[in-house]
Amino acid sequence: MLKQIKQLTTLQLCNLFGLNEIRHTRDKGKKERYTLMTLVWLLLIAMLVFYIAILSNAFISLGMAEIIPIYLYTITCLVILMFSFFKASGVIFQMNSFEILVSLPLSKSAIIVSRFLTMYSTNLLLSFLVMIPGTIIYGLSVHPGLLFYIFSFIGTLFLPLLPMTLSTAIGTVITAIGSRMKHKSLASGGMIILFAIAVIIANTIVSNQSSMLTPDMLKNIAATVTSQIGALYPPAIWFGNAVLHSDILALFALVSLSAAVFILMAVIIQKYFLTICTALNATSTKNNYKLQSLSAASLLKALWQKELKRYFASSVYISNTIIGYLMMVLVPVALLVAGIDKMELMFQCPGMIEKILPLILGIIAGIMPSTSCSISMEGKNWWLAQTLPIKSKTLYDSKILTHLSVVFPFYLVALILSWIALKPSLLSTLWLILIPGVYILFSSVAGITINLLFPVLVWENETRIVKQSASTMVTMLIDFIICLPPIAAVFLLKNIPVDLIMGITLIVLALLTGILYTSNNRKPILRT
Amino acid sequence: MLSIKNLTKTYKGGKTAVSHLNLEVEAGDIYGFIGHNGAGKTTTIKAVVGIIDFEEGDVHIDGISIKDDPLLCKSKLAYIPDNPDLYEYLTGIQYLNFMADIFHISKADREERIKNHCEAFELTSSLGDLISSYSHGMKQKLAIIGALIHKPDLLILDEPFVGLDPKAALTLKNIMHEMCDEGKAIFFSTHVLDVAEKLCNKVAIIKNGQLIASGNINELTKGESLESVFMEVVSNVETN
Repeated sequence: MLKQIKQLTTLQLCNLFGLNEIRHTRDKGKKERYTLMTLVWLLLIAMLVFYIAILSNAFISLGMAEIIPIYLYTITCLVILMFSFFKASGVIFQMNSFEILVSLPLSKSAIIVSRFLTMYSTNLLLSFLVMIPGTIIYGLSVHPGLLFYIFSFIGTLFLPLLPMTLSTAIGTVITAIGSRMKHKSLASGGMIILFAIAVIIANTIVSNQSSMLTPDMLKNIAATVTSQIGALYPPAIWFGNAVLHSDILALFALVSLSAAVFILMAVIIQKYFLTICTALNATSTKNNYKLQSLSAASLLKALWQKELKRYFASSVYISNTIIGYLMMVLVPVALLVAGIDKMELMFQCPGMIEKILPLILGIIAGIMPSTSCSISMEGKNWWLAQTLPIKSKTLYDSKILTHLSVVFPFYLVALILSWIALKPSLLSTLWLILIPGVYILFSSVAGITINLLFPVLVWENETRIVKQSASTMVTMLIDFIICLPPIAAVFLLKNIPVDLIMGITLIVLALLTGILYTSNNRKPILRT
Repeated sequence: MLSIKNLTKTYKGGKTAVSHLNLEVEAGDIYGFIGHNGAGKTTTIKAVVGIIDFEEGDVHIDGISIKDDPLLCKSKLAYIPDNPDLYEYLTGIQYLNFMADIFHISKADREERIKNHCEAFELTSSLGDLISSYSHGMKQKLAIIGALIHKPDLLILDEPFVGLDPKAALTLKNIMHEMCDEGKAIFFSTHVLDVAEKLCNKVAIIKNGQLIASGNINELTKGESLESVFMEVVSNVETN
């Protein structure tokens, strides 16, 4: 069985990030695109490593070096938790490939274990990317003993197991419950979002306890933060104790718990695999349709309606985009609840919130537009767009309209709540309306542009396209970068009026949007 | 109705899938396109309907070049692939309504055509269910109905009879005959030579991207079976 597990895992991993396709394709264009995608990924990894290094250095300069391993451990676990939610149904409970494999002389256990190992490998990669830079920075600063490095390595090896188990369990339950509902993807997506909100609220409650910090607690801020993280995720504290104090019992507890929970889940899933698969993949048919009166719609409306159905048919598509829009609403909610003064004190930016709020809302709203993978999401259906008499402009307009339809209610609520919180002047109100609006428009159109450059029309798992494709990554990167100049200008160029910065931002983004929109519409429907 | 002139398609990596193909499909033709696996049938069809580019040659549909006015060409034709991947998140009726909207079919016309075709293919009761719950054959039937909804002048199909039950296959054949009687044209690829022999008035045989025989089926077969003619023609090419 071990040999089978190795063979199957190797098979699944050989095309990780499209590596096997890069090796064997003779299509030069494809090779070039993959090379570009690799460069994008390397850039994102470099940015991640840089961010971790900066963060770790910041902790050290604040005298909180001992926070580094605990904080990074927690962050990695949270990221794995969020990213792995839908991998369960897409990777572990994928029936098509299972049916092919189970007809071969392979043990069912080997097939299932290999899928877990595949998920574990990708999560382990992420874990190392986060933990290594932090460990090095800590090591250079504190000069710990050899045991620190050994225990860090062992702890990192077992890091993905708990969040993977939790996300697989929760993701499976949510998908199973959702599959019983009429609009199952909407139900699943909604439950994921509710879960995410619960995590955010829990985190906020824990963080808000800082408002009740006494002077003594403030003196020992590191211990305070540690206890807050411990309240949220105790294994992170065990990891911290293990690496910082060479506490072998803490390491043993962490390793034992991670392994035990993971093995328990693996055993349960093996035993009930087919039952779970059936539950997840269940579809209901009524087979009793009677012809009714139909209504006609214009081409754009028909495409827009179809696109909306596509969007709401995918729980991972919904949850990946709506989380950002929810955050857009939560920011003014936080302002209303906590008050502007307290928020400015917390973020050390006195008198700045009214100035930068339009930009903050713009970043959040624009960071993950649904258009960034809307062409890739057509997948095997793309032949319909290619063969039907549809102009590319109409097709792309329908995708932009879909994004705008979804984001608009959140934008409106965020706008109203922000206005109530800030009670801004007339000009500030104008920026509050226009700046997030232009970012939303820009990100919609840029998403199409970038997806046309990095389309992926052959895929097995939606999660890969929505969360991990070059198109979504590059769109996120560009939307983030484009927000930096005006924010930097507001903070650094104090002699320039904020209204001027906002005005320039508006004009530049509007122009860019127009240029990209025109350019997109000139391109014919993508040929394969 | 369909005019393919000097069509050449070479994939990146050097494989020439179709080489200098010339073919004419006239109004009233049921034109069979036959060849072995990898001969270039699907590539030819995909080039005709606008899915893939081609380096040389041109394709005209009713006198209009697919390069010059692809939208007008696409409004006159309908294409059904061998494995129709439809929008699985739509119900059958939503898909048909969507296709009717694309081709600007009036409410009355779409209701009548959907009723008639769905009854003929016995798909009416399933129209309220999601396409994801359909079997392969049901998806095939739905794709066919969706293609016929705008009464195309040219129907292009890739292996249309694979996956269809015998009754549905007969229904499709009857529809093809009706279309040809109305002056439309059918162009389809198939491996099943029996079907081509009984259904088509013209055939073209393609091998390794090149057209090796084409024309009226009676003139081509001269009383022999299409299968023996196909084997003979293909062997002659190999010998040469």
